Amino acid sequence: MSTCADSAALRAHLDHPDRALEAHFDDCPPCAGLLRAVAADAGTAGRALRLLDEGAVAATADAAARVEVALARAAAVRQPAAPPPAPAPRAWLRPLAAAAAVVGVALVAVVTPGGQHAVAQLLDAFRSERLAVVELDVDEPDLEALAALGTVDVGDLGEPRPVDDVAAGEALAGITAPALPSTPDEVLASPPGEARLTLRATATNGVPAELDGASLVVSVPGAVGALYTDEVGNPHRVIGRSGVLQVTAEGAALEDLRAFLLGRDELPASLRQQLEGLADWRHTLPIPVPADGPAWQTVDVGGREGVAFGDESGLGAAVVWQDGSGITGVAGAMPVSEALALAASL
Amino acid sequence: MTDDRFAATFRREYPRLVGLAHRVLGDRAEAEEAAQESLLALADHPVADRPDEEVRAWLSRVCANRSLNRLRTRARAAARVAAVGAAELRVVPDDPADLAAAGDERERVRAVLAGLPERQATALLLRHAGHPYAEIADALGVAVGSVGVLLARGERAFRRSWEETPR
Repeated sequence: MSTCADSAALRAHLDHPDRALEAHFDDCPPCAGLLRAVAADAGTAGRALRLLDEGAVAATADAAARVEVALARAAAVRQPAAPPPAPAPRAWLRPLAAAAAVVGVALVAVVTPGGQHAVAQLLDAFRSERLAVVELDVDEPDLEALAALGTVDVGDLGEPRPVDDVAAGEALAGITAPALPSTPDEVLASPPGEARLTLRATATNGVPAELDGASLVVSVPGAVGALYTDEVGNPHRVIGRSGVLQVTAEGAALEDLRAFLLGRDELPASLRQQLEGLADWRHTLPIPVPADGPAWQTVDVGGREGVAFGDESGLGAAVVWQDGSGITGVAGAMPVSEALALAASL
Repeated sequence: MTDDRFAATFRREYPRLVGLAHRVLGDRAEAEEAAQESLLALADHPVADRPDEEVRAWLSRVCANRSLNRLRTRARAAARVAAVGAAELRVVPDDPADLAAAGDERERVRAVLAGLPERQATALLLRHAGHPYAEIADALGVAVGSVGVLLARGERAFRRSWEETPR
């Protein structure tokens, strides 16, 4: 074997030895050295993680009975008898988790350049003019594995930072904030910036030679978010806006780069199918939502198409919409109807 | 998902998921909660109607993620309490006698695990619990060839953090 192996292949070799690779080590001291380093990492992690075996749950005589008790408890939560009993602890936690996810989605879509960067890098929206929800059946796409495709330069992009007031936020972000109903307790903002993914073809990463050196250039808009806090200082409502997200291609056609990225196994198959199904992908910004996350629906916000998340429980809701100036969103601990009314008032 | 299939899946997967969660959490009651939450989430998820092996992979990922999230929440709570000068939160182990011998080391392993990116931590957890590459790939929704990437990076990050974490 004449081709040198990367650390991933060497790690797999430790579990599933490859004879050709083994022979290659005799002639290639760098690979042999890399293998020793990978083995040392694996050995350290393996020895440490084996400590958890020692404390593992032992099989006990009452194991079967414990399963039946747990099953009965789960069945009760799953199918409450009529009239419904008081919610079990799990039933409380699930909508609470959904509420947290709602706020997270809104923040990612509106005031988090990192989130927009990630979305754009993956999904190749050319210029965001409308929004579409895509459901993720995994917690997050494998961005780290995609980074192996080349180099990622995020420049000065970073998390939004606190600023003195809305005017300072607008100055930093280079956009006009929504007309707020009252003075916020805190204002966060981030400046516009640029991120760039440049593909590099190697022997193992699957990047075709014709895309070697091609770049996706993401123009990340500035963003400003107004936070309203409760009596103990926890944020319970956020109103934010960002500019228009744009992606251009250098060294290859945007469509070719998109087709290549969507063909990668690192993206879950269900996500790829949804993205490939976006008819107007050059103008549609996908909003990733966990498949077991909050309920969502498309809504009309003053004549503009948007997406609303959450329900009437008051535990959490969000509305996000796009217009000519960018993406605007509201989120907080309120019924979704209240979030819609707030959105329409801006 | 029918009641019968839910019950059959529950009986088949619950002990395995409790074992997986217990590796992460070190607390039986909390591990049982994480396993039950994962199975309840399955009941409302489209994957519930897929073949058993896909259900198993989905449950592995969800249970590992939920356990890691609980571990991180526990660490944040402990840090918050410590920050205001109160006693550090500790989880009561199943067998208090173990604490002196190996409990601290296990907590150290869990702390390092909780600090890794979620996918790397899940890959390490599943691999070192004996799951084959194909199952790990299914659980994480990646190609089998990507499992080596996640393991190599995860183990490198684990070792670095392990060597930096005070005993």
